[in-house]
Amino acid sequence: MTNNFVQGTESNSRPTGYALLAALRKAPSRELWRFLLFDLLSGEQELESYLGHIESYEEIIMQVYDAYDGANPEKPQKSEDYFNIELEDIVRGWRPKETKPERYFDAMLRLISAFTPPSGFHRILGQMEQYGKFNLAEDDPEEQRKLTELALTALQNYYLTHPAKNAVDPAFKAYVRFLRLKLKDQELSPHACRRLIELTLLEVDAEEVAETLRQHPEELLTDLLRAFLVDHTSLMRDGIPKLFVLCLKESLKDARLFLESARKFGASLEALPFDASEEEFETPALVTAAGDRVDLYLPADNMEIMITLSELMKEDLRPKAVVKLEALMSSRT
Amino acid sequence: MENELREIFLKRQQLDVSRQPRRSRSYSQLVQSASLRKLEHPYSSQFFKPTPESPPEGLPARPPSHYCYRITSIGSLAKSTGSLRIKKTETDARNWELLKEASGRPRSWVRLSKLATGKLRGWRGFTWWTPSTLEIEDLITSAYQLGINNENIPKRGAILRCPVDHLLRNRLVTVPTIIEGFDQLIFMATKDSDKPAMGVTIDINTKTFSFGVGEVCLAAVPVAEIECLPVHIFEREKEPDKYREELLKPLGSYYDQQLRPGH
Repeated sequence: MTNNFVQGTESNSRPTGYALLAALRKAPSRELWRFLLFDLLSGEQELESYLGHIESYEEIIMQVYDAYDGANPEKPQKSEDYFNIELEDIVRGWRPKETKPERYFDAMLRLISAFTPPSGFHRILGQMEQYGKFNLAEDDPEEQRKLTELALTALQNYYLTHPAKNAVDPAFKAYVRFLRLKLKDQELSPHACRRLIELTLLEVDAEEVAETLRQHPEELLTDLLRAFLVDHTSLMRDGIPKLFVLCLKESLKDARLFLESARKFGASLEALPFDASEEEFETPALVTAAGDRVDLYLPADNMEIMITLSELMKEDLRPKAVVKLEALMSSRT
Repeated sequence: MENELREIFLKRQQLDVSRQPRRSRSYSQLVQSASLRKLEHPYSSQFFKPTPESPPEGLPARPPSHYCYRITSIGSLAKSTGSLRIKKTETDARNWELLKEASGRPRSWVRLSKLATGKLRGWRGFTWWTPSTLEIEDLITSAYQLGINNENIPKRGAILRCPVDHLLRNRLVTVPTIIEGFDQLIFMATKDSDKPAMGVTIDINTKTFSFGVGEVCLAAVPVAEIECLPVHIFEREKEPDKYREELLKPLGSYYDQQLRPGH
């Protein structure tokens, strides 16, 4: 079957909506899957209505192939395989620079993000590199922002982590090049920073991160703390202390924002940063929602950082700790 | 199938207006709007436009339980709340992993505010709940009791619960009206004259449908007041005759039965 069908030139009578889902559950074929994908992309009325209840392309598709594959485990031809072949075929024939309604791009990007067909990565990366956006039939900045986020999420899903060090992967190289370029982009720099840090290609205390923190403190901190505390917890012990120091270096406002963002993910600064009996200044820590303690190694000889920290503690922590910290600071001066 | 849906719509118009005559004017406007859009019925189209701020219209409900419950898909949960851990632009697979992780092992109720921000709002500005306890070990039967057909029982989903105290205090819980139920294929209007404490579902468990369990509509609820529990439902566990197409005949008969005098 040619991609003409995807462009909507085929007019054969065929099942649609719930009848199409029923046909796929009973006797799946590549053709039926193609019909379904076409209808999802073009917003067929019955499927749209169904989507309103279940809200997810992924859910619809998985329910349908599970119904057949789960009931016929002995069959060598899996409905899921038919689906993957057809999705790849449709994505390979997709021309992202064409003008389409928002819902078309939304559906395409969500399908690619969820099922990562091989051609999807290049299609999206090419469009984002060349145009940086999608050509909406009715331009709407809010919709455009959502599509960009969907596109970036889809690309991310192809490389959640760094591929094997020795593997030669041109696609990955192209992705990294794209991310590095976007470090200077007004809107995309927080995403680019976070991704490069996740892929261990950028240090948290790098100048590029500091620059992004100055431009987009809220987005960057939410993004990075989500990465450290939720998505990539293996980076937590190294990333969080560096990020906190970076914030303290920049400003009291950023340090405060760090704590606010951490709180959103259930983590908070430990409230006793000194040992009263020993009269010694202890390492402060961030305690995560799961109870993990991440020591925040501060350069104790950096007076500016200590001053910012003492200001922060005046607001947040026990007054005694502040008095102690200030005494410590004045003894050093 | 279109014919059957059209017939169901005709039966429903009679039934709905006779049970809630006070709403007949708004209801007629909806019927007119369907006809203007050349729709033979409102069950296969996005009849309503998304209206996140529009609360349900019914009278205050009085659920006789500590909690109200809801079954939802992870996709719907992400789309109906503000992004935090789970995000609107993420895949179901990832959002589902995050929900499971937050729920721990063994699974326990987790506050939705750990995963999302804002309020839970349906795309029409309200969501459907039940005061009836859901059987976690046999969720499919519970879903059928709520009148949910197979297509709308999620593979990767969550059970939500919200304390009734909070709902009553904040006037967030109402008796479903024929306006909220207008585009719902499986919906039983309660009689205004009965002054019902809540709505009632159609139980589709048996071949001939029956009176189900309590049902209410909730206006937007803050995520801090909701707890959730991840659930995974296999397609093969569902009854083959509970897909939408197979339900049209028994549903038509059930509405016929309700139209007979004495009901």
